[in-house]
Amino acid sequence: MRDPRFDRAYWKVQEKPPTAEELAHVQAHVRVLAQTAPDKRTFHDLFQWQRHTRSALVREFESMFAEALQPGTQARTIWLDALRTYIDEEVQTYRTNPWFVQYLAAWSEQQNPFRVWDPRFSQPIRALHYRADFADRTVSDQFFFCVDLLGDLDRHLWFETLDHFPLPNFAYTALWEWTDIAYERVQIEECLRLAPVVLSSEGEWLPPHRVATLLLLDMIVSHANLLWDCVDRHQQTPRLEPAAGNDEDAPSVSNAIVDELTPLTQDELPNWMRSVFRMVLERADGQALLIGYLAHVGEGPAMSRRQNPRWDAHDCARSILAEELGLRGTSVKKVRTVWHRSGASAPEQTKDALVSTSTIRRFSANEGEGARGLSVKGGSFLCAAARIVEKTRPLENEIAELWHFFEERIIARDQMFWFFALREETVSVLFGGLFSRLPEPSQAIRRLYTHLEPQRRRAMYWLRYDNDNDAEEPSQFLIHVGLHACANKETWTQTKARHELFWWLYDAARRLWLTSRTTWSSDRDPERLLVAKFFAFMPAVFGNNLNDALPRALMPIRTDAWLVSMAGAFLWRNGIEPAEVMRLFLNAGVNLRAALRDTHQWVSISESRQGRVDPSRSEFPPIARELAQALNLVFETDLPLPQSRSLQNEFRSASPWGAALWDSLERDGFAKIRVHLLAAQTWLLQTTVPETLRERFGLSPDIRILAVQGQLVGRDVRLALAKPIDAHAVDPDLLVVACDHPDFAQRLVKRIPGPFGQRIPWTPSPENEFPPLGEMFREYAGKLDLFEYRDPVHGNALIGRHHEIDELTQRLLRGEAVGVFGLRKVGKSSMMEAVAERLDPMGARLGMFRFYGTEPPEHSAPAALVVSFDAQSVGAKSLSNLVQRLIEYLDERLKWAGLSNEADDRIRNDDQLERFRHKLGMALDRLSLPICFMIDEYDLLFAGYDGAGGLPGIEQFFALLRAEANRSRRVSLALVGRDPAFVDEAHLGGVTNPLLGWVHHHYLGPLRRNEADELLVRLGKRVGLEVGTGSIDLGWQLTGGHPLLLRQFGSILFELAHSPGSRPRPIPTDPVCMHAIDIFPTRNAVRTIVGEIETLLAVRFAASLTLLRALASGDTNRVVDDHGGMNSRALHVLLHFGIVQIQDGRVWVPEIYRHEFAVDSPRGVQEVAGEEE
Amino acid sequence: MQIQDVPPRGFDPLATLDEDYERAVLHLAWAHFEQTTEQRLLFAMVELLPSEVPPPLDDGEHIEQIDSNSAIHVRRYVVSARQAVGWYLECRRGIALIPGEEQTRRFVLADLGEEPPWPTLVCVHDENDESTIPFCAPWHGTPRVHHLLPVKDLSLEKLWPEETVREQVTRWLSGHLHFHWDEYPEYWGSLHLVAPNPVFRRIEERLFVTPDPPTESVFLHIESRTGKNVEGLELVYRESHPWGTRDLRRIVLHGPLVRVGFDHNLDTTQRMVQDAQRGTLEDHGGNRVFLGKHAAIPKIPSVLGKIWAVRNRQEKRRSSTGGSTS
Repeated sequence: MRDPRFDRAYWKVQEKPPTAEELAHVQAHVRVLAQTAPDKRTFHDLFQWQRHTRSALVREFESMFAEALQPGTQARTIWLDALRTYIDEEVQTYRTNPWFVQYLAAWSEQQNPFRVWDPRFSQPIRALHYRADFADRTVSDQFFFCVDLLGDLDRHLWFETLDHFPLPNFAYTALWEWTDIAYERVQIEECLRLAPVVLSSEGEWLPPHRVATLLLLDMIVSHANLLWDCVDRHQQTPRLEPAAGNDEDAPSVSNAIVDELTPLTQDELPNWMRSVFRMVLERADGQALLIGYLAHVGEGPAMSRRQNPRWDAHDCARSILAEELGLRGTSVKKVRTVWHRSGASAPEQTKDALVSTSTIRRFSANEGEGARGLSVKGGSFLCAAARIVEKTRPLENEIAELWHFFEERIIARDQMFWFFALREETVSVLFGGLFSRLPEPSQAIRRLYTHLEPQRRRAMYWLRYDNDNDAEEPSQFLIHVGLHACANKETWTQTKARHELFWWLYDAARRLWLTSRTTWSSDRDPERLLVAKFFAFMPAVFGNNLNDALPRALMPIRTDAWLVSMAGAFLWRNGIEPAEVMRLFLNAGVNLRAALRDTHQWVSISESRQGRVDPSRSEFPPIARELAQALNLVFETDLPLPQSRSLQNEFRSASPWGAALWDSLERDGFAKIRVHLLAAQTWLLQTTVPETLRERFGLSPDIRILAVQGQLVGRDVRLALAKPIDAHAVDPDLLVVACDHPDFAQRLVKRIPGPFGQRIPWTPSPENEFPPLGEMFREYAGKLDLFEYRDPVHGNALIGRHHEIDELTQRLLRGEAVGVFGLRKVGKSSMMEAVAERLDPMGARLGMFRFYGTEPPEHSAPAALVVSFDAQSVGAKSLSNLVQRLIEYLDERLKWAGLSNEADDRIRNDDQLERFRHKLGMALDRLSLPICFMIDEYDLLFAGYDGAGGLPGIEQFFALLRAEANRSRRVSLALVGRDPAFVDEAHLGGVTNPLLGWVHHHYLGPLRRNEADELLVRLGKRVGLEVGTGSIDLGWQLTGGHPLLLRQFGSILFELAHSPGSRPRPIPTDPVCMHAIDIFPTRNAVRTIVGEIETLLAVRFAASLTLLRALASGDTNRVVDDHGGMNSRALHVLLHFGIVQIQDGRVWVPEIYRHEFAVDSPRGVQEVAGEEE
Repeated sequence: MQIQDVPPRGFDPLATLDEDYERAVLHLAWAHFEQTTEQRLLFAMVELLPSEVPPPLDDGEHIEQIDSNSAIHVRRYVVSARQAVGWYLECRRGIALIPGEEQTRRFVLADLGEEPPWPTLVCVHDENDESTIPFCAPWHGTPRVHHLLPVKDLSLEKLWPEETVREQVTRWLSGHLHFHWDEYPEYWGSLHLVAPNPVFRRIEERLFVTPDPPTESVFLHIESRTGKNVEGLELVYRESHPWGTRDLRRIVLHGPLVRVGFDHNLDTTQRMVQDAQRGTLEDHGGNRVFLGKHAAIPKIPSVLGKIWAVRNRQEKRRSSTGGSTS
């Protein structure tokens, strides 16, 4: 029985139970089948029936079918024979399938049973050939359906079959995608009892190299993680707080999470896992299996790039396994034996052979001194052994045995040390603690470090080696281990020896730093950080003698401000008060304050955007920043700009009125006037607007002024709008045009080209004097109804959405996939443009945001590379066509990042997906940044435009992206569309939907109340209105914060306020706002939006439409109770889209929806009539 | 017409040897012939270590038995800087004692010529480091070097008549000295003195773009070594355009942070740093200024640039020799 908690989290699995009539029908079907001699046709028909039948009904069928074919009956024998024959025949064809060749080769050479958990083999079959044309190259679902049927009839035979498949991925697919075992604990336990023995007691992989048992073993931890995820997801989504209003997380939700998750993670799941592991230990191969599995789960945190704060069953399993194996007396020797005997120590050839693509003459990875040993991955077994030793009472001989194992692995340059050195601080704590108990830890560590000298020499010349740039990491790791050993005071008998080891290691670390392979940057230099880390250990190692020890440590690094800053920060973080740190440094002759200032200054220079540093993206280390704050240090955030007035002087003197314009600006308080020469006699000025004018006209901090001497041409305006002096500070559509052409103000100003917005003419008098610019705003700013603007807004014009932008930015930076869903015109594209701008200012101007119209900024440091496109404008007719366009966008972005467009002759030109994969792989290899793909109107890729149908095979593209995202953790995806229909589909194109379970849903609702108010007030000022509180309240009540509806409301106010006779400026709107109530529902744009909501709900969420009508017509509390309460799905849909909101604990329907959807409204009557029909 | 007389600079590169370098590493490779008991020096590099750089650990002698008569050895000896320079100068005189052994035991040296004439050291131009000093490690930067090169090529055929044996020797030495010996036949039997910059570790450069002209300036951060001061060093900063040189600045440094302003967009920059006594300490050339412009990845291009530079040089070398790629 499936745990019901799984079902709560996903709407998809909340299925309608079978009716009695359906069950009777299925029973009849089963009776007929049981008397049939099956053949391929039977399987085909049965599979087709299954495809078009609800899962709940299929499950009933399987259970009835197994019951009908009881053991010992002839029908059962006939069916089993037929199924096996069919499966065997199919498997033969897959063995020769060219698309599996490299995987088959890799697996056939495999002597290591534990490789089955490698991501290459522990993934569904479809992921192996996402690039293939599915029609003729894939493994059919019918095949897996028959395998599943076999499993229902005979478990032993099923295991036999799974173990004879050519690749573990087949068994993985059969287990994960065609059964519910992972969701049912009883089934996991039952299967693990029945599953055949895989290993000998010594760990040898018994023929015929079975895999199903191993895959089942992994389901223990997977089950725990899945359940945690579901409970967590259920508690976190959907949110019941109102979309508008305070964004603070409601305490009730947090409490609910804690209430349910705490017992789950502290008792229920650990206890269950422990009991199953104990059960596995009863098996003949149990100990060897669990040793291998402990090694596997130990790899997880080391190899994961993501710092995941969530609970993880792997961590829990690691601890339990180490305890249980320790209790069973598992020794280091036993672990080594399993490692050797299981074949896990065997060299791997295939993987290495696949990666070398370099054309440069370099040494191969196995040439030269310090090369890696053949058995590359024993580090995980070493860790497993260490964890077991740590959990038991460590005996001296066990630690000595562990040390020998450690020596062997580190001299062989085991690949795991690379991960350990970079990411896994806990591993060095583990080893440091254990090795401090060696009889002579200092000598042992020094001797071993000396052995690694060839590796370090090799590391210095890493550029000359092919695919071999981690020769230094074992040395770094050993230094970490040595430091942790030093810190473990209890185990040292001689303080002097401990101190000597510390200084010896310090010199070793300094040599690594000063002779490091390549300095990537001052702040991302692992060797330098390693030197800084020594200061974190000094309080523990030297205690009261810190005052004497510090000068010795600080002297060699005192010219490096970054190192000194980090040294201070690490000391502070380890219990030394800031003032004491300062004093100690002064005693040592080092000025910590100056070092912090110098470090900050250099970071400011390195990262500045026109002299300003964005603290959220700064590389100034956070702990150094915190130390500076603790020391009350205040840094200058603006750098002094170099002064030169040559261009300013040129502008002032180039035209008869340049000086007058300049003086007029200065006189009116405009500051920081900056000049660009666009063309002959054409200038662009950007200047900071005085606060009074900003407030009065609702302007952005800066405005741009196009100054033209003579005839104004369209090109000048386009150039001016495209010039990003500081795009963040300006309203992208607003342009003041200063021109001395006689007809300019009267006639030509109306013809100025460009996007909708405002153009403010500014003409000199015949005496070349300029009127105050404020006057011009007063006269011209109110002439255009800015509220009527319906396109996505850019840059500074975007109001609100800060929380959403922050969250999406963070998710995309973490390599996640997000889907942004919401009603039309609710501001999705504008928000995504802001996200793109935040991630990658240059990328934001390419791809789908090209209409932004500005040139790529020349000096911006992106956090990611953004490649975006709008499915609607791309208009791709085929997958190949789409991917080709995407490659072009990617190329364009990479070109700007300084990466050449290298073609690979080995990739067929017609295989666009493969080209894309290659291109993406190349970009990921060369860049350290995440790559983010943004797709607007993503639903068109699946549904097509105007019913034309989606792109065949589009799921392959997303499967590729998902595979790359899983592999690299640096590929993120943002899908923008109306609703998640295609993301939530279980299957696409006959295969499991790659987007399912990958894309995080983010519904974009209306603006929050304060944001809605800001929109009305700010735009009102721009058009000469004083939008009062009465108008603001009314706007909110009518629209509920939908941006376009709000703008329509503002537009009505604009029309009403500008009626003849209303001359004072700004014009107050409160006296006329009540007239807007009658006009508002009649506006075309309003009717369109409401109509689209109705269509969306009618087609996709009929129950929600019914609920909306009921809510619009009556008492919302009663209606909600009558329709399933606050947790009903119908209500959640309305809340997600922001069509209704929660206010003061009650469901609230904005007036426009109440007006349009009430039963007595035209829409309500029409639909009710339709329902009655 | 009056002659403007510019006298010689009178550099003495090693005048400050004792304060600049404390220790040194002798990297030696030699062949031992059993029958003649000859110890033939195949390669030597005297690597002076700036005072702040701790020496490597002694991991002993690495030996490869070639045949019944011969074996090749590689060993690194850590000695004082003065001893190392003394050893090198002895070699210049034709006497190469085996360090740590009886004073009578000597390496057999080829007839050596020198480049440049002692006591001059040349500062390596960083664009050429891969092709002229393949034995140097990247951390050396653009070191000052002196070479003792065999006047006649060392005849490996005489030492090891069989080609397979010669290949074995070449391969093993390549793996232990980390460059392809078959690409540098001129270095068989050579000796080199390598003096990394003792005054500063490196120079970081950042382009700084300002909103209105003058549009760009360059910040240079000179990271001095412990106990050293960059004050008084002369920085020569050259800015070029695809059509030629546009600006040349000579700046006497007053501190570790310098801003050089320009009233136009930069294209390519080169920099040299000279010390009045030690001579040229850095010669860094041909740096395309795109850090600020396409700035995206301000850190990585420098590494990529390095890889591309290596690739270009090797391809150039291959095309000139008609060699094949591996």
